[in-house]
Amino acid sequence: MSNKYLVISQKKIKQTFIYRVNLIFTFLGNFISFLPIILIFLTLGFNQYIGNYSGNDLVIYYIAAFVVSSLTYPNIRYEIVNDIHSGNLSNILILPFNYNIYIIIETLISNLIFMITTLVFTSILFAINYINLSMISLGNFLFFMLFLLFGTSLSIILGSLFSITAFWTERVYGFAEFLEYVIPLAMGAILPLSLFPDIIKNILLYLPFSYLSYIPVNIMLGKFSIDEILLHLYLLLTWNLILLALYSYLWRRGLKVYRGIGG
Amino acid sequence: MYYFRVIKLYIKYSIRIKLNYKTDFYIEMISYLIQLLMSLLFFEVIFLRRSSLLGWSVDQIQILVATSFVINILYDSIFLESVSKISRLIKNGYLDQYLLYPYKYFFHLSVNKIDILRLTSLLPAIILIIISVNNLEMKISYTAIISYLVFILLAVVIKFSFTIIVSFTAIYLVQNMAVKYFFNSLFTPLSYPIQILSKSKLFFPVLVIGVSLSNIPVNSILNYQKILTSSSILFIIASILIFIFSMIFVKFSLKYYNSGGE
Repeated sequence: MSNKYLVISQKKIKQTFIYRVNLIFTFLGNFISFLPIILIFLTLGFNQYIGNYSGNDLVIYYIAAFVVSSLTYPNIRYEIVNDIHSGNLSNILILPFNYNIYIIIETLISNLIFMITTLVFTSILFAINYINLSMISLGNFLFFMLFLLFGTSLSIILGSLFSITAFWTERVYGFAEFLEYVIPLAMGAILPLSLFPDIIKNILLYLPFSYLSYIPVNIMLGKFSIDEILLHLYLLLTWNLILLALYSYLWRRGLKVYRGIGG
Repeated sequence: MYYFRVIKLYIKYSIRIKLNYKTDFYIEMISYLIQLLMSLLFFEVIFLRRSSLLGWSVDQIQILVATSFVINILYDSIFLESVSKISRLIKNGYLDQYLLYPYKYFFHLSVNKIDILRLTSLLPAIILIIISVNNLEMKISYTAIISYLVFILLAVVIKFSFTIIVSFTAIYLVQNMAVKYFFNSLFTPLSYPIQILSKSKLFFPVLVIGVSLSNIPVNSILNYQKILTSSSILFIIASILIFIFSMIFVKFSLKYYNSGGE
């Protein structure tokens, strides 16, 4: 990484820690929002089954999904939206760095910091509830890490794709609100996809969103065979390539319609 | 009389504004509907595989989820837009305008952006409650219905009191967005059964507010033979105390308000 991107990274880390109280309160807010779901399965008991998930599996599933999605949730990047709408993008494009790499670094650093915070706090839940983690094998964990890596790249591409709709729309907030409901469902953050009726499950399973949480977490829990893991790895890489190509195309088209008003 | 006249004016203006942005109004209605469906979906999928959840049947859970929506939409319609801009008013010094009003500034600050048309989003939740109560084949007395409504109003009062306290922290904090976000999240457990508290001793204080807000009203219709339990009495006392505390907090905080900004 060249020096200028290192400076951008350092700046982002400093910026995040200046508002560390905000970071902690935001995390606590997210944590409380998802806590009731975990408590439902803790109250039900570890030996109760829902579909092919035991209570223990579901508690681990939700905690892991919470940690994973803090890294892979494809947020709309409002920096991009504001830069496009305010015309500030014109000023940035003439600077001697690649705007897209700049956005990747910013997203990655803020998500990584958020994931580490989440991991630290959620480990308390594991500790106080004596959750059994013995079903996680080293092989599955390594596959999980691999999926997490490509899932993160997929989420950055998706987030950027949603953000550059600002080239063609005046307001993205309605679209953002719609995504806020649909994405957690498609990621398997509301319920494991396998608990849905077959038709819905089969559609959601092969959309890119399932690779952001449901599939990596289930690989870690040992719910997939090696053949299924390899198939999904192939599909994950394919989604990455397809969406990256789509993003490059739309970015170029977007710059053509961009008028730079206000910049 | 003055208050009714002012409320009537606020309502008139809000309807006028809302009808100018019809698309936003429809999006808002659809958005509430999707929220309701998403909350139901979680429980419905579980009930595909179980006949009961922590002692609740599917119809009882539907009443709980719908009640939590009624509380949220009532709050959003009456107070949300007015209260959510208080922090900004404090930061840029525009709060002065309200403090100079000839009548209670607290009243104006709380309801000046009342959004009565948002109440139309209540319809799906009310229909769901009626259908679910009907499925349960219960004969509910008028007393139970009235107490249910009173508890819902008290829940709205509690939510309002908390939000106004958090909004006024802007007088002390440079940035209170994350604090507001955190306090909003306290109301997320609204649609979950009260039984989850038994497994959350560590998190009890942060969950109890949200959970009781919807569970106490629902309990008054599901256990209609015993409306006044110790927890419901505690709920009534707590709502009054929190409301009084919020007024004292606002009054106290205003001593430190220095009309910054413009």
